[in-house]
Amino acid sequence: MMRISNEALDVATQRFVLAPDPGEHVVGMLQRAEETPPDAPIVILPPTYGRSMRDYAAVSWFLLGNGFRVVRFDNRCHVGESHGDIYDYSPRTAIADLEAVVAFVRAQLAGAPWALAAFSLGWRWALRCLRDARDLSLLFGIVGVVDMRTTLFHVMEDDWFALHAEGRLPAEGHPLGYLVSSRFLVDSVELGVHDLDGTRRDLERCHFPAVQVIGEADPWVPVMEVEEAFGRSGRHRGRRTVLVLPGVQHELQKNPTAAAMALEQMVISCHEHLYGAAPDEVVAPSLPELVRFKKSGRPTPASAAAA
Amino acid sequence: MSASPIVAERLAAPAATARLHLRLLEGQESIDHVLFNEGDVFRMAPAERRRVSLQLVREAATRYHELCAPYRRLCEADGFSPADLVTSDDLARVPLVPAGAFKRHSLACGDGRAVVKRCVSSGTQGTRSEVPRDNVTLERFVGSVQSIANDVVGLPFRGRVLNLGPDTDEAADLWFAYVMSVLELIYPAQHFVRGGVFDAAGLAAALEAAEPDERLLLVGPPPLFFRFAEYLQERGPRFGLDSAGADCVVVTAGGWKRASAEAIEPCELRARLCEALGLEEPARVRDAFNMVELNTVLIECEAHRKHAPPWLVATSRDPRSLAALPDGETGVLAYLDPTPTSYPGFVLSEDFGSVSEAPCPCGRTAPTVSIERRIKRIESRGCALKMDHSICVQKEAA
Repeated sequence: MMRISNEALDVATQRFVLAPDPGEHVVGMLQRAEETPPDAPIVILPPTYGRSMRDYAAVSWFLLGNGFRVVRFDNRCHVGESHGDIYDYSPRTAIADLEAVVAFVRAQLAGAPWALAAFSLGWRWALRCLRDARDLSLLFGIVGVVDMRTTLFHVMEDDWFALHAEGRLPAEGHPLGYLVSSRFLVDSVELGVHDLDGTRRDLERCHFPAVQVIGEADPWVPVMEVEEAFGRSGRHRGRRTVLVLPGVQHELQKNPTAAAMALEQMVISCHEHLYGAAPDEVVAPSLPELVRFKKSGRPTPASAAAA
Repeated sequence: MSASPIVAERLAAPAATARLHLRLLEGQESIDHVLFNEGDVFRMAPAERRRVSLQLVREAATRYHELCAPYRRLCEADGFSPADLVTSDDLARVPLVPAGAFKRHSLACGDGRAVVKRCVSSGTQGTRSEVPRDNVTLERFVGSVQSIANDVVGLPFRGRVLNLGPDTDEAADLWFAYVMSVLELIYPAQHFVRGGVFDAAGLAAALEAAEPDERLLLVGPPPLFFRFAEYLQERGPRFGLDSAGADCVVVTAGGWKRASAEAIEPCELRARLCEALGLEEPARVRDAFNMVELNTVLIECEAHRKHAPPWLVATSRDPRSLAALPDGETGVLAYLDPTPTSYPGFVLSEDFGSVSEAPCPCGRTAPTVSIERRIKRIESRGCALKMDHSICVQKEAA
């Protein structure tokens, strides 16, 4: 089903800069392979926590090499090229950034359908942003966080939400090595995106299909919680699918085999929902081709200055 | 892989999940679980490690025997069948391909169409080895580098690589340089050899520009680190990476090769680098070992010992009989590496050294490999060419 390509994928890249708030820019890029029609379906790849659009080279290649246009971008107050420092990271800006990008994408569609594929915490913000969208064809998640409280407990080895409830929340912390204000946690609670109940309610109201790939051995996103969010209530409006990778943990980038399987499923699901049928084969980059592709997407000093 | 009882039970009860379609994806091979999913692979109980090694080597031997005609001929000449691998004691019987054979023969599994990179050695001793790698083999190599580096060196989620070597374009097929350059798949990386020239001033500037809490990984061959230390000491003032708050780890790799006349002892190199960079602990400087025929990297622990992960069976062999030698005894180093799928990873190296299961001060239980020196050409004729001969003769007869 999956064919490895060692050939260079020629890609046309259109960089864009949006301004969700005055004076604050969001930098992104719209890409398509040279052989892909300019009105092909679009898949948006929002960043997850601690990752910039440059970290999505492999994910982008899988989509670009299989007939999709791809939009990726950097969040404000986060790593990457967009405005602000990660210290001020918040779901509010992450969700507002995605709203701006979705508006940009809708203007580029030319009648084509669109989907969104997101990882980990990026998936949770995307779900909140898109829960009422009627034109979205698919929400695809890979190890999408369904209960931030569980995830953060494993990342921080402490229950920050309990500390918040007790009024003992530290002013800042170091989740995954970045110094971040605890404001992001307070904002999460205020928005209701911090727990399993909020995820379940957001998912129930989505009319579009949602597919999620998870790791069976992922303590950050336990299978039981995903099941709870995706289907136990029976009140969902769209079709829900959960695909479980046996023995796999959260950080898929450390497991090339599992990552390739997840990305293959992403391409299959996107084909089914955006082109109406599963593909005959999924083309994947060889490792040397991926290295070349990633290098080709490096920002130049000129492009960074322009942004 | 079989489904875990928990997931299988839920798959059998879809009604409980309403419209949810829950499906277990199949396809990950057991070796990938060991490479990428296990916890600390260097602290496995010895019995468990031997069980894992035996299973993985048996699976790989079956593949090589089936798909690599030269290796099959070698097995036939030795009267060996993969089915003979019943206990871990049988691992010593697995036929070994002399590293030199990669200089003279095409040793691909199958028709070679899946090969995505033909990796060549530096050819320090003359002819270059050529090792065909398919994508699975390359991914396992890069993935295992990441997991081993995490376990042994403690590389974090966030970090930056400063490579005293060329980027992937300039590295081309040269295995050592390519290995260093593909680290940029894992971390943001800068490369400080351009057009074959080492940019010591550029590296010094990059270090000076590091943010106080930044995690830096410096990688490169010992001769360039030696030159960099000299450059810093001549330039002055003394660097103080530790006192500046940067979290810096130096990994030397590739040996001295053509600069062997300048070679200094590892502990002296560590001391020089600590002095030049302002690192307070010698444990911040580690050495790594790999060779083009080996698909696994060995990185020193805090005690400067190179532990073999459980998928790699390392032994030292008697140079004449190739019999496995007792713990700690010096001989020709041999590796049973089951991670390659595109060539036989069971290799007799051209190095003298020893393997020991003696306790390591770092607490890891995995055996340690000590590489002492290269075999001189005259010494290699006693053993390596013997097996090379059996590959050639059988090939002509076939």
